[in-house]
Amino acid sequence: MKFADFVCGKAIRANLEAQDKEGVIREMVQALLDAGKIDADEQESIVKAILKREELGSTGIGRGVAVPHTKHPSVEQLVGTVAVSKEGVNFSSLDGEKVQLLFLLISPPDRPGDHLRALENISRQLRDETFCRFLKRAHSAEDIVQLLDEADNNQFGA
Amino acid sequence: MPWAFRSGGNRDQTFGAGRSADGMTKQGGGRHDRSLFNMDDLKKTRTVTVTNDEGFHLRAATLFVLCARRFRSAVAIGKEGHVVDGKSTPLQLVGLGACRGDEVALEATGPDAAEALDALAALFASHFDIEESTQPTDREDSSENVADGDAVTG
Repeated sequence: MKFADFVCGKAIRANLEAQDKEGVIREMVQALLDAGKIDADEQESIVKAILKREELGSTGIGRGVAVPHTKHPSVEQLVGTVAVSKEGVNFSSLDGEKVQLLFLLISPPDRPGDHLRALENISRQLRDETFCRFLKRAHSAEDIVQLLDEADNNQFGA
Repeated sequence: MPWAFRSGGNRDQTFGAGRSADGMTKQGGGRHDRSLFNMDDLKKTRTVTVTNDEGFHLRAATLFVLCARRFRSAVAIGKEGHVVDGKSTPLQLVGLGACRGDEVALEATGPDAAEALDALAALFASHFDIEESTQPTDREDSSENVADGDAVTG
C-alpha cells in the first residue's frame, strides 16, 4: 500500500496550531471534514473514538511520530491524513519524546488488513531518516504531498 | 496450560532463510564471554501464529515492546526474513505487517530467554488481551473493562 492510497492530500497540514494531544487530533479530523472525506455529523463521534483509542495506550510510537487512529462505521474505505507540529506535542509517547509528525487513520471496521498495511507502509518509509526529517521540516502541505509522492516512488530507497 | 507456556524443549527454529537476528545475539555478552558460557546456549527461538482478527496491530506491538523490555534477554521478532529488535519501538514492529494467519518468529537471547519467550508467546495466544476495538457503536463505556491492558506489561 502506498501513501497515495490512503492519505488525502487536501487534508494535509504542515503547521498544526493546536498544542495538545486532543487539539491536534481535532485539527486533523477537521481537516478531513474540510476535505470532504468525512461527514459533519460523524465528526465528534470520530474524535471521541480516536481519543478513546489513545486511552488504551498512546499511539506516539517513537522518534517523534504518532499514528492516532480508529475504526469507524461511517467510512467505507481507509481515510488518512498527515500533519506536522513544528513545536511538537506531548503525546505520552513510549520514548517520552514530543510528537512532531502525525498520521491519522480512520478505517472501516471490517477492513483490519488495510489498516495494517497502512501502518506497515508508514513504518517502512519512516525507517529512512532523511524522509522522516524532511517531513518534520516541511513548510507547506505541497511539500508534504511531494515528499509522500517521492516515497511512494521509492526515491528515498527505503 | 496452552502450548505457549511450555518451557524448554522449544522448537529450534531459525529466522527466515537462515537469517538469525544478527547483532541481537551479541548483546549482553558477545565473544568475550565465550569462555564463560556459550551465548548459543542462552538463545531460544519459537514460532507463533497471529490468530487475532486485527493482526499484529499498533496496540499489540506496543504491548510486545513493553513486555520484551521487562526481560534482560535480547529479543528479536521477524517475519519472512525481516527481523527487528523486539525492544525497539512499536513503529518498527508494525513494519512486519503481520496479519491474521501469518507466522512470526521470536528469538530471545540471554539468561531469561525462556521466560521472555513464554511471556511474549502468551501475548499472541491471548490476542494481546484485547481486540483493538474502539468503535463508537458501543462507545458509552465499552473500554472501561479493557483499558487496563497495561496489567499485562506490569
